[in-house]
Amino acid sequence: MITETYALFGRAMKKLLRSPVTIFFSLFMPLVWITLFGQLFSKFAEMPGFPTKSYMDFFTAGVVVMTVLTSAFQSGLSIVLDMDSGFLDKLLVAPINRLSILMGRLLTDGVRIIIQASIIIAVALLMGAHIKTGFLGYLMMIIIAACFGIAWAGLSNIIAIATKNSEVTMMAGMLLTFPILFMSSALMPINLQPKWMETVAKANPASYIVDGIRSLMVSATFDWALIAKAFIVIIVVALFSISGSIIMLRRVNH
Amino acid sequence: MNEAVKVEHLTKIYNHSIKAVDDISFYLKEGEAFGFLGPNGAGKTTTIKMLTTLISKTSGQAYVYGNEISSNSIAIRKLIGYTAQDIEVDEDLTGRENMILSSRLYHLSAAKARQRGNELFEILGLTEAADRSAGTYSGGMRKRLDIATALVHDPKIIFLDEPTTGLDPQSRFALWDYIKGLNQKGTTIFLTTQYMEEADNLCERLAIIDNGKIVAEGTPEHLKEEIGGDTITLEIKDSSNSGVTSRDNAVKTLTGLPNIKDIKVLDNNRLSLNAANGSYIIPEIVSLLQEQNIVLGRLEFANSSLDDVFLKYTGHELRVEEQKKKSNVMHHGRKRRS
Repeated sequence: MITETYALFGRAMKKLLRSPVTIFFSLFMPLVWITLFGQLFSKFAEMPGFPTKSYMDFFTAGVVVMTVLTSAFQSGLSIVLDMDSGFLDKLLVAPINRLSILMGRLLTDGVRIIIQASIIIAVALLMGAHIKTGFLGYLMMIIIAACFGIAWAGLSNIIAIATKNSEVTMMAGMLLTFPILFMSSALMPINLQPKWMETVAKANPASYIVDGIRSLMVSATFDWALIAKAFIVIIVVALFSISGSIIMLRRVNH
Repeated sequence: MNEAVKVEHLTKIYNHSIKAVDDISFYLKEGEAFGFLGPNGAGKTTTIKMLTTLISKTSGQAYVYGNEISSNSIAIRKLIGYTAQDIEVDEDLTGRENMILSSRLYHLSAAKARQRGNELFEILGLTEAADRSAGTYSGGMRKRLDIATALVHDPKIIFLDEPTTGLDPQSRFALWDYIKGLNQKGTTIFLTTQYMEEADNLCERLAIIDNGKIVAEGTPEHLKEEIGGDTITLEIKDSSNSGVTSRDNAVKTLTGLPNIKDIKVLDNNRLSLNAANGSYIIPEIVSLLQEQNIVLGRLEFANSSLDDVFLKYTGHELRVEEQKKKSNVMHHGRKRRS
């Protein structure tokens, strides 16, 4: 299973590196957000009750999660391509574990997200954001982002395998990313949101990822409670999305 | 006799209503080249996909080297190679990278993978192109690479679903030689085709499949013998402009002639006769039709072929199906089969 996963990860990585432009497709909107909206909303930080002095310090984690959601939601496209070309059948007749087909894909998404999130964080730093926990904090931010991306990419694969349709897979990502983002703690602290949105945001897994990543930027030391919450959310999402994808993959063709 | 594949009453029903494969039974001997001959939609791909564990059966039993397809799919996957009708190679990778990927999936060591890759590139004539991106390959080369990647683990049996559909004649003939070569080296081959010529050329034994049922089975020679005669195709010119009358008249005239075993109506003005010693009765046919004032437009004579076998067992021509399919493709663009 490890050999198989590694072989398929190698295949997907080669494809990614041979068309690196795909790395930048899903990076476009987050870059627009961090450069324009970061400026536009900068006065938010002056509101009473706002947790940070600078909006950029607050906003960066939100844009990192936006990048992760956008990127992870594209994961399913590859499997639709493999279904259309018949390549998936070639994998399915081989005596390999179905999980390795999925993991080869998801690990590549993880690498892509590490590159993308690093670019976003670098731009944020240039725009005046600070990471109070330093380089180790940056590493932890990237790890949380990549793990959440892997878990979330599983959802895209469920949609992809169920619909076998690249347009639907793509649209689902585009339509869901913004509501998930707006109804979380990504753009506005939960305590400053209307009551009903606060309730939704508390139930939104993205909020916990944002809070975990943000804590590494704004607290002087690692806030293990928030980091642990982020990982618990990641594990729950991953269990659901990966087992769901495997069930779908086993039923494909039947 | 060792059976490589044994199929008993295998049936596949899609969506509780579409019977794609309808109670078929057949077997493959080890080392044999066996073929399924039939038009599009006959159930060829569905059968292959059940045997290669890609789709589940609805009922019946099938064994690949003694392993039941639904209960022992993992064991089967280790023994078989498979290429689909669509060419399944990753065009972003080079030929060699495609081979190495497949080798890794079948757990070959790096050294073994390299050696096996070179060997297969040699057999399939891809050595020079091995390090080029598969996207730059011609259709014939991509198909050969596809077959090569299905052979990395030296499978006991390879399933080839319409291996030459869509290839130009030259690539097709070259591929036939490669397939024959593989079979001579001991690989059992199960292929499907819509081409008579291909079945006749490659298969030691074949089954004719139509509408999900096997309608005939045997060696190409045996099947042709069973027809036992030559084929005379008559095209009747229509004097009264209604066609059917003249045609029916011709059928009436020719029925009962001692050498004519069978008369089939192909379309409004064509008849196909199956006759023993056909070349000797042509003069008689011509004069009989003349007596009835039936005007012959054309007469074709052919020694018995698999085409006739197909016609005899299915009641329609394979060629007609192909033409229908072609015009379909022209009207709707390339259609993927699900």
